[in-house]
Amino acid sequence: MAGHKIKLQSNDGDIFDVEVEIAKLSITIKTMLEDLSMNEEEIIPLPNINSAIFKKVIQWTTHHKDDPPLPPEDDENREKNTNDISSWDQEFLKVDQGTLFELILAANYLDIKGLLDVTCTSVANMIKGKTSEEIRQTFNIKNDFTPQEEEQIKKENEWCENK
Amino acid sequence: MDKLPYELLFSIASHLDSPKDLCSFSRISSLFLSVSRDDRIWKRLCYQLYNIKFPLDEIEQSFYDLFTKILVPYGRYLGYWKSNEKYYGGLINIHLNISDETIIGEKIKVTNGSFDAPHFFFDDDDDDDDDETDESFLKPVYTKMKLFTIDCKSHQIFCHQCNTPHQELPWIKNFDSNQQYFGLSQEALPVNERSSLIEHDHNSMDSPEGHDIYFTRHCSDNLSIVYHPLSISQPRTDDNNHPLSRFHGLWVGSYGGHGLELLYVELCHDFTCPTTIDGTSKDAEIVPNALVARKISGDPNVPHSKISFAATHAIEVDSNSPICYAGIGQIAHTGYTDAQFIRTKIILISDNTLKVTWYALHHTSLFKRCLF
Repeated sequence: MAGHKIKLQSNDGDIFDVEVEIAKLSITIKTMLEDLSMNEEEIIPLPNINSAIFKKVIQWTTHHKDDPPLPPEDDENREKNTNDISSWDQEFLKVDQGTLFELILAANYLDIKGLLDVTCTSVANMIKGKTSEEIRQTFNIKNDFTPQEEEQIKKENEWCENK
Repeated sequence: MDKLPYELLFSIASHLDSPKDLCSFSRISSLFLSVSRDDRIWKRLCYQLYNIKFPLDEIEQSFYDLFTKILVPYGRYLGYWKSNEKYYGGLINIHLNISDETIIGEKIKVTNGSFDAPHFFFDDDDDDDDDETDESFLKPVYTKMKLFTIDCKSHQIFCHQCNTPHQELPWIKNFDSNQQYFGLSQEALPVNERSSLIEHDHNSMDSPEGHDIYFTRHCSDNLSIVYHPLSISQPRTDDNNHPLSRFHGLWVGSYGGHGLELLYVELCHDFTCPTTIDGTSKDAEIVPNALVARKISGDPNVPHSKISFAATHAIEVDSNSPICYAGIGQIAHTGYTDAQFIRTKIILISDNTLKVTWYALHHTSLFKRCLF
């Protein structure tokens, strides 16, 4: 099976030859191949992913293809976060915000838990230690609270602010 | 970022471990506010910061309420503490009773429930010549004495000793920390904080020092007891850890005429052996891995917080015998005077039982893991 390839098509029409073992890191593609018993010659369309992002995804999965599988996400295991990002991943994630969020969407759509974890961690690290106004500026988010609502939340958050 | 679907914003928020960051997150916009109140986040933080875990159907309130209304004000008290009562110390367990939203502080006392060795209580350490220690005479019986109950709804503290309610926390003085403090469970503490905590765990002095984390119970002029947090390591049984780390945890042991005392046992790295053993001086030696037992409850000879014994060097034994270590043990006269270390042998009988032979005393004492 090693080296065996399948064809995946991004939403802008490019076709990628990807090793089956690497493509299967995506649970979505794995399910398509196994449950829907798709013909391996068939081109699998990925309507939610453009070529640029898909290239990044392949780059990530190729590097991580031999990683040990992540523990199942049950109650016991989901309690602890590992917020360390390997230096390879840090280098890989040196992208603009738009690309980072597209990677999160792609990882979610393709169901690649490791990639979703590391991209979400990366965004979380950009939030840490910032005030809400700083976060709004960093990510260009509009504040839709009325002054009354702001006052209300401030009050609700008193347990945290006043310590 | 605000174009991301809810579940993905939730995934991002799930990687925020600091409640303060979540508060900032909630104030960004209404979308982020709703994500920040997702109870799955607070369930995780209740566990991560306070080691509190309930199945969802067991609690009436949300984990957000549990976290913000009970754990933030009082969660810091949860866990094991050591009291500083002179010589005797003592183990305090403070736990949450979720059904009525109270936090209860109890002192755990241990007595020997065995009838096999009533004479044992009247023996003195020094003339006890009983080398044939068997396990039957050590039957620890744990009794819990309620010290106080905090009602998290009315914020009243009921003291079971002076039998009166307090409106605030007059006798819970202060955690000496300018930092926000969420949770004392050892998992929640950064490594550097945990190590300074341990350092101060060993403080047997009457009054706490500047960096100590402690609270005091001060009911009347003549009752003021300081409590220090204990970080008790869990036994580790996987192969990646040193074999002695199987013995981590709370233990109870027999101390001759003093009865049973509580200890905590932990693998210490780079343990500095005492230089004078059995009255003979030698060069300072640092042992990379030593199993150190310190007293939580003590006696007028060797008080709480002091090292009782430590296993330092493995002894070669044949494969059928239990693993043995050579080590040290501490003895002293009343009032912790003339304290000295003597040679000991520590016999690791099972994960829950060990024996210590105090050579100079011609005495072997038995230790069992606390199971209560």
